[in-house]
Amino acid sequence: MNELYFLSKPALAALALLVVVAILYILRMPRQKVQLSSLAYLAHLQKDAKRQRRRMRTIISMLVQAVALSLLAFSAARPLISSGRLTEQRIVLVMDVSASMHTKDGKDGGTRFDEAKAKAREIIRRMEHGDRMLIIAADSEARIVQQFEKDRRTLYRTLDGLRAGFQTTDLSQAFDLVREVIRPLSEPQIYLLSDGAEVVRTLRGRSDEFTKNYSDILSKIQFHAFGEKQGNVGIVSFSSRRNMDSERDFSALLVLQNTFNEPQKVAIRLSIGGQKEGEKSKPDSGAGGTTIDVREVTLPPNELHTEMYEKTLLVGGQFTAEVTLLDTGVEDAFAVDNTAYEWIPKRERIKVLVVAPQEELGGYLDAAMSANIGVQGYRISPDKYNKNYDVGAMIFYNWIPSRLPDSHLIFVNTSGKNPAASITKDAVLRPLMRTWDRTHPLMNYISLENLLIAESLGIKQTDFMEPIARTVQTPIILAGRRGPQKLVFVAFDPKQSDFPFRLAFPVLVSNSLLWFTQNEVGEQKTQIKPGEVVEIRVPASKRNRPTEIFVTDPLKEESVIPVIGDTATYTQTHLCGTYTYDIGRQKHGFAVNLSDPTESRIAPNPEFQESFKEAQSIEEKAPVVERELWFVLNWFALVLLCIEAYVYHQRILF
Amino acid sequence: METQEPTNESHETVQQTISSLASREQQLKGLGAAGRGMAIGAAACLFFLLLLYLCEVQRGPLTFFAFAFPFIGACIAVSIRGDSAVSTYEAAKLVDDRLGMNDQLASAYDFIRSGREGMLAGMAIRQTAERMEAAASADQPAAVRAPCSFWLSLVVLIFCIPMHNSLFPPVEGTGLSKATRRELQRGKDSLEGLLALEADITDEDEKKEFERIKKLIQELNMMSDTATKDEILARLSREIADMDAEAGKDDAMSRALDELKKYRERVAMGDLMDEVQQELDKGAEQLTVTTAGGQKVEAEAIKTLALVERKELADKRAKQEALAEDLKAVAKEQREKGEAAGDALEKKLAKAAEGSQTKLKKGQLSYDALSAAVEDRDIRAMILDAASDKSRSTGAYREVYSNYERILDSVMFQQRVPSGQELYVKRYFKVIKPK
Repeated sequence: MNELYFLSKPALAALALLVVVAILYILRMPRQKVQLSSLAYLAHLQKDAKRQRRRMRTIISMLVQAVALSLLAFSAARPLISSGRLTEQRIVLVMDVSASMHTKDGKDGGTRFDEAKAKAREIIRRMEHGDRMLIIAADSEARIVQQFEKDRRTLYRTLDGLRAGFQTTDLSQAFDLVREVIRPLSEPQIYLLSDGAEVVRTLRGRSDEFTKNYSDILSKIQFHAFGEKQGNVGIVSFSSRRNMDSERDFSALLVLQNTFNEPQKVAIRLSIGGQKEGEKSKPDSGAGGTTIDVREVTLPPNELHTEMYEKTLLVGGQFTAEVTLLDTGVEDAFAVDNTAYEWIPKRERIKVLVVAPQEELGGYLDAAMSANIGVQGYRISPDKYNKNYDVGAMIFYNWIPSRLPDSHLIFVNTSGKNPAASITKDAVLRPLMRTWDRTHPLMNYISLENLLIAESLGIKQTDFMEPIARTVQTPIILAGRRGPQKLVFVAFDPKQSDFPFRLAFPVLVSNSLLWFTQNEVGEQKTQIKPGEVVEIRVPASKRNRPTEIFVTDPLKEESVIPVIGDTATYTQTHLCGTYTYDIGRQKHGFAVNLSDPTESRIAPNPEFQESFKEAQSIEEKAPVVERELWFVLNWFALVLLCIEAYVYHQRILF
Repeated sequence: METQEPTNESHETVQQTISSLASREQQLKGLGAAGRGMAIGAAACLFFLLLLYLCEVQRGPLTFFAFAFPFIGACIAVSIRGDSAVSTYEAAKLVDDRLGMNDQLASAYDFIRSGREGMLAGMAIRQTAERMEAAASADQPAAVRAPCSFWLSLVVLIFCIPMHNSLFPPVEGTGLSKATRRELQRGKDSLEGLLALEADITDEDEKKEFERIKKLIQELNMMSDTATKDEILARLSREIADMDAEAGKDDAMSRALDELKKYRERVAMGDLMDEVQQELDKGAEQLTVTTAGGQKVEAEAIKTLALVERKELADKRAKQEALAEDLKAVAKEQREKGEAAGDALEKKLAKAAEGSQTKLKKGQLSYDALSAAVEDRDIRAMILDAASDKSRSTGAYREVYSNYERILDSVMFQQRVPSGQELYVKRYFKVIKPK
């Protein structure tokens, strides 16, 4: 039944103004003096009738004005007709916006988050007048997205602006926040709208502790759970790393989880180089670029399954793994974890200059340069030598200049003065291989066993060089670093050995160049979790260091971040996918993945629900219907005054 | 008295007119027959297309064959009806009709034909000539035009084209890129070469496995028109996983399986290789430096070996096929003769391998066997000579290169060198191959 309330009762005091109106009408109006030549005219006037009409007109006018004033006074008191009660309840709504809320098992193909939002709207619709609601969004962290607010439209707007994200859930943070918020309130209503799936992690292994810690909150929270399905197949980990001994070879590790109760056959597709902006799709390209592997695997029920990949990746870019259920009768309601991303750095081709006497050019070193697609080789004879060539490395073969460049260096059979070794003997005939350092990065995949050498230089290494291959008579390969510069010294002419015909020769050249380009401080992190902050390092060696960096997110939206010192900090990593940015001419990137086995376990946990206060059915309570009348009263007052003015001044009735 | 005999001139005029009319009439008859044939053919084309559609025939040569029906119909109709000649009497009758001469000329020619030519015939011909002269400018025979049936059938034929496309939509292409197709074919050649080399295996299970691999690669090549790259890779992965799961493989089988894995990788990486090749094709940046005297000195770029040799593809394939055939022949010959072919170094290698109680077999060569061989001073000298041979064209170089290359293959196989490194090393050996 509807009742009338006044929201601002003190405003009724304005009714006292009626007295003022009455006084104004009671006060006699000053008589106008008119001089007449004779009073004989007055004898013809009908005195009584006129006076009565005038009095009547005054009284009616006064009454109309009194009514209008009363209406305005009532309007100021904000009268309200409502089907509910006039309370001032405080409501706290905790919305789960974690990744598992993307699960599509709602009615009409909607997600759990859609259902949670619909439920939240119902709660708002049933708020009594004077109730105020605070909304908290919770995933791996909790944040207040709407302070206590009673205006439904504002609350609906806030709700509409909420989106389920890609982060995991830690409800303990939300409960801590709720505890702080309700501390000064008496009997607040607290609603938790969640699927209750990934919060299992919060309880697992420390259920008692959790219940004990939050017993004061749990008993007050009404938990409304969403979602039914428990089966999901997803990628819970995807990572790759460049093999230390080969620039082009990568190992990728993929961990899949099947939470169905039956084994599931899936296809795993790996692809590289996502579709570029404005580029037409290639015939062999799916959404995620060029397919480089497809496997079909049967995943055991409720277990993790690991797949290893050894891949030669000639190009860099977005590296994508996708998993698809092959059984068409089974539905995977949680698609977020079906795709995982990785960023494969694209290497710049290192420029290498071979300096050798004219007659020696075009030999095996040139062949090693020509065969290596990661290298752009150049050659010059000593007469054209200049230390200022802008290259990553220089190779001196059978000749050494007096002034050396700052780049990385390889000396091959150079008998002149050099920083890597001092020549003790000009020729050691038929040196016999003794040992080599198998752990040194230069020696990966290299065997020098029974290496046939006609003759070598007799050398002694300088302080910062270490011998990595020795013959019985003398070291033959040295490696070391002098500050940022790395040096390799080969003490024999490959032409005077069977070295060029062995696997070891091209691999040594390739390993040396790989060693030169390896970043000492480690490579940029290429895998992060949603919401994590990324520190982008802008290398100090780059000329013209940029003052800002443009980061493109998975939706191809660009944002500008300033470079402070040698770092740019990027925080907008809420979407899963790859983010790219350019430093100089080189494209860099990183990938954001859900990659969380617990979050991929989408089945709601009934035990979790039991920890809470019994949730009241929201639908049992009818939605509150209410109407404020101030607007109508104001209109009535205005209309009355208009009628009064018209009637009085036009003297229509009296 | 005016003579009634026709003049030669008037006779010739009439004769020419009759001949041209006969010829025109014959053309008209031919075109009419062709038009009718085409119309029947077009109708048959429509009917045939509908019939094929009802029989659920896919778009292909048969459906396109329907479009030949009108032309076939026209040819048949012309050959049956269109070649019957128009007689002089018929042509003269046409002239009579046109000039309103009540069959006078036709009768005259009939008399002439029957040998009863006389004054009357002469008069008729002369009158005809006169009338023809009078009517010459106003009564030109109409040009020969195609009959309506021809245009009608052409319209039907044009209508058939969209109808054909809607009834038999083009089958969606598998979208296999050129690179994937190329690598499928290349891998097939390479695997078949390897399988040919292992033709002497006697184990029944291995034979079966080899047959399975052969069948697989043939089927995959056949699938290239209908399957997607994902399907091809999935199939390869399935087969490899099955073969991997089976225990008890010897070297030959392991090598075949290894080759099959490489085949899968090549198919997978074909597109990436093309992408890299495009980058390489852009060429090297100029590398210059300015000397103290202001002179610019440029370093010469070393050309990177092509990753994908498009132009040489056909030659290479032909060579591979020839090589595979040769290998088959050599293998057969070796089996028959039981001899080890080879040159000096190889003989030494074989001998060294025998000494070390190691069977010299493909895939088991190593630098150990080589070290024993190089104890021989001549062999050592030959290797060192080859290494310092800049021309790379001598016999010694060829011999040393081929033996080391064989060792390389087996070393990479044994050491499990990553495929990226292997690709690089193989490319290096390609650059230094004998000229």
